[in-house]
Amino acid sequence: MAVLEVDNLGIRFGGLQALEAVTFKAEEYEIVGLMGPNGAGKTTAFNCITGLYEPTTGTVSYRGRDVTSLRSDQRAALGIGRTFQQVGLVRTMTVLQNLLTAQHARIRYSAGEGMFGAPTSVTEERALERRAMEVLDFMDLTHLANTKLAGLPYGTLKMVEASAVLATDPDLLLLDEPSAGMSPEESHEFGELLLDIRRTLGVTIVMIEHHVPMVVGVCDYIYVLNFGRLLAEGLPKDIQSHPEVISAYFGEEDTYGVA
Amino acid sequence: MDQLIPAVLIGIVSGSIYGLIALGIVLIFKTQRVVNFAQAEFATVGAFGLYIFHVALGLPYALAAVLGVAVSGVVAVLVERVVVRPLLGSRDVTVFVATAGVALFIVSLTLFIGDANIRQAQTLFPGDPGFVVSGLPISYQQLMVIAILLAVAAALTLFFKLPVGRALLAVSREPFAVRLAGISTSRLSLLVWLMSGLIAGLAGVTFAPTTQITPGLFTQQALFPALTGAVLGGLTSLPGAFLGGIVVGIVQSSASIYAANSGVPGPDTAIVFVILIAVLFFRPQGLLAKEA
Amino acid sequence: MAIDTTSETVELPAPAREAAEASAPSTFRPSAIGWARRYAVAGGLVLFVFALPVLVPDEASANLIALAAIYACVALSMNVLTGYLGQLSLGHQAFYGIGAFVSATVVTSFTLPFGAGLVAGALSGAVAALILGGVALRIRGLYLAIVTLAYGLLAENSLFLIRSLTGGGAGVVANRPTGFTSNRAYAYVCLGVLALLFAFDWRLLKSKAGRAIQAIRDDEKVAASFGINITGYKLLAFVLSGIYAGLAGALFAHQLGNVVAAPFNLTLALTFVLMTVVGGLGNRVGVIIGGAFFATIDTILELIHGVVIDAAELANVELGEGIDPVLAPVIGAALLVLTLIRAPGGIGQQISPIQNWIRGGRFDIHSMHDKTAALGGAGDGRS
Repeated sequence: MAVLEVDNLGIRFGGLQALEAVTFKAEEYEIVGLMGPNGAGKTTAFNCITGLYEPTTGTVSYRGRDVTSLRSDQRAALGIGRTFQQVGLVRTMTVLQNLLTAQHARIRYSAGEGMFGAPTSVTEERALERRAMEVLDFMDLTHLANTKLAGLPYGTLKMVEASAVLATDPDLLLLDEPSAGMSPEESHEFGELLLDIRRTLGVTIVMIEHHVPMVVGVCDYIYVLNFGRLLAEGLPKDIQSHPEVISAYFGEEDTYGVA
Repeated sequence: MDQLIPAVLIGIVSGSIYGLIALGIVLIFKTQRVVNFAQAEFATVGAFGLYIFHVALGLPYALAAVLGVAVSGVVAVLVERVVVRPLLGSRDVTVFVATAGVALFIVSLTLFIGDANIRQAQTLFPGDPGFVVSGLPISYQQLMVIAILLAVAAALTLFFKLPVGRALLAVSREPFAVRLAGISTSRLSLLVWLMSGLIAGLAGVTFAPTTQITPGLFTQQALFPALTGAVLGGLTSLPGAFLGGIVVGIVQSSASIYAANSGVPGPDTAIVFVILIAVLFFRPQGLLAKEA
Repeated sequence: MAIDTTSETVELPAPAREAAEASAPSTFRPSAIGWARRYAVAGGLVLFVFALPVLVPDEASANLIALAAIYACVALSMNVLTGYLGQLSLGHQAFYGIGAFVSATVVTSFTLPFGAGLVAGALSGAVAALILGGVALRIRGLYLAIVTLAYGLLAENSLFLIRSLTGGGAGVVANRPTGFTSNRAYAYVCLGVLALLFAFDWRLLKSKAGRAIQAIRDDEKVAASFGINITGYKLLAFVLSGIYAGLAGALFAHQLGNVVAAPFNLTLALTFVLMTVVGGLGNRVGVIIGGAFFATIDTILELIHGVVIDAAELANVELGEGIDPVLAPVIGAALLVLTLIRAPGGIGQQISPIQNWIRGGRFDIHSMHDKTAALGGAGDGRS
């Protein structure tokens, strides 16, 4: 059974058909790449999977369960974690507070127990903090724990965001352009890190990505979207040489290597 | 049914005041995405101006009225420079709170200067005999209020045909492009606040003689209905503000008359609340808005 | 693919100095003596506040301490909604007034004990806030601010004028509990409730509910991606705010002894906004100071007035009327605008070096300049 199955997904915004009949899946422990030019509908697909948008047609299934009618937070609680193109963090909080907030759905005490300071909540809070520090340690960010987000460089924010989403303890991880704003070396390291994350945490990953070397180096399987439709799918090596993909995607895009 | 005509007439008079204040609110919102909480209080400033210049200082009535309107304009310009300008770019709610502070500031300042005494300004028509419709006395001054609203609406329509007016509309749509075109947004912003101040001043000066002038008069009586009128019209539509104000005025006066014996106090507030919630729930873009 | 820096999710200014300071690891821990000093100062401050009702010269001043504590409770209430959730409330006189009338009615008409009055006041405030919260699920930002204004006016002009509920001009009698009828003793009741709310509010922010509410303020989509139930926690913030305000209203009713509708007006609602913004949104101690300040500003001005007049008489100078207490709102409004423009963190920002020091940090005067945006920082302003 696939971890994620998107079947015949379609969504309209006013007169615009943003997605049409999109079907794809991610198997256990796979890293799946979602590619396509700007406006192809990649982030829209993520928003449908995580429940921010309600698709007009089609279903989203997670581990065989139809989650199409669940709220966004309910899907997150099931284990679907995601990052955002523009850094999905709580910007007025410190790095550590962000990681504590991210663990929300895993917290065992109730909101009431927390507000009245029940002993269970106090011990649980300590455990949350320990776990947050472990994740930060894994991501090499311990030194930033008590830093406010304001002023951190974009690349660091993306790493903090990745830590936060790891702290949600996801089973399926959706990454929206994780290496945007990173140098080629940094994005290479990030690719290694992703493989490491999969190995140690056992997660399935779907990622929107433009750095071709990273996609080819990391992904097991690739889907290409164009104008809201699935243009091609296949192994990285096949996609690279797929003529339609080249004309639709590489042809019109810019030439500075990140296309 | 014999009460309907008076209800509509009173509604149109108070609705004209709401419409005038709503016009100022919309004018500012359209160009700056700022809701001016102090807009109604600018009208009180004009009313106080009329009273002080005419009754206290003994200037001729017409001159006092003109000066009263001018004072409103000056206050609006001051508010733009001192409070709104430094806050442009912050969240719209922040600016809203700041203008609420301005309203409170003006109320307390008028209280401070002239305590809470009730003042009565003369009407433009000595004795003002007025006439009677369906048993309801209507004064000429009240007709003036309606006339002023129509005149302001006509003047605004003309204004937006002029190059300056078109530039203003452009700012509301594409602030960045206008800056690129070399038009001073700072000066346009000042112009918008001046206009809104003058419109409020006109409302204050014409309406004041029909009632008693107290600090906070217009904020208490007209701000909420005017805001609702503006929202009803879509917040960015000038004709919408005009009509929205009048509709709120008529509904309000009908509610007051028909629910007078229902035992529910404040039916006029309640009905405006219902209108506001209904519009925001079912047609948040307002009745006449073309742009979001 | 360029990076979209004009994003709506994140908008992070990067002042170089702050970044440099921030990335320095905070390994500082005070010594045992250092901790002792901190505990001594914190304990001294608490002791001072609780000694105030005894320290003040007369019963009238003790009543003022009670009012300051009540306003501080309202400030905490405003802070939950406006500071933590980021939603401006211009209608807080509704929750406050409802709490006052319900508590008075429960104690006087139903002859239940004072404690029951407080609980009923808190619950009625919660219900009133929950209704507004339901509206807030559909309407946001500026429009919601207008709705809160309307809600407050509706309570003021309709609900509070219903004779059978609020006793019309005569009002409703609200006696103080036996043993606490003196102003000094009642001031302790108010301070006690304030202390409880303070502790509760502290735990709120240290636990998942507080974090969830703040996350919603900053970005609902991100909050949902962390598994936070947006609807639930939004409503919770409204309910908590209503409970705080309802409690404060109940305390206010029994402080007066007889509640009438007149005080619960728009000016009061605006004063609540002023004191919270000037106090520093999101800063618990800051808003409490703001509330206490605005509760007592009239009297402080009168005191200054008296001193100035006396001094003038001594110096044989003709001064006229001196400072008029009516100036209070003028000063308040000026402070508000000044806070919004110059120091969005309000009083909370000014006292943050002391707070950081007490919490075990170094005394660093620069933390005062750490810009925290007023009105909840981020969030979708244009909705």
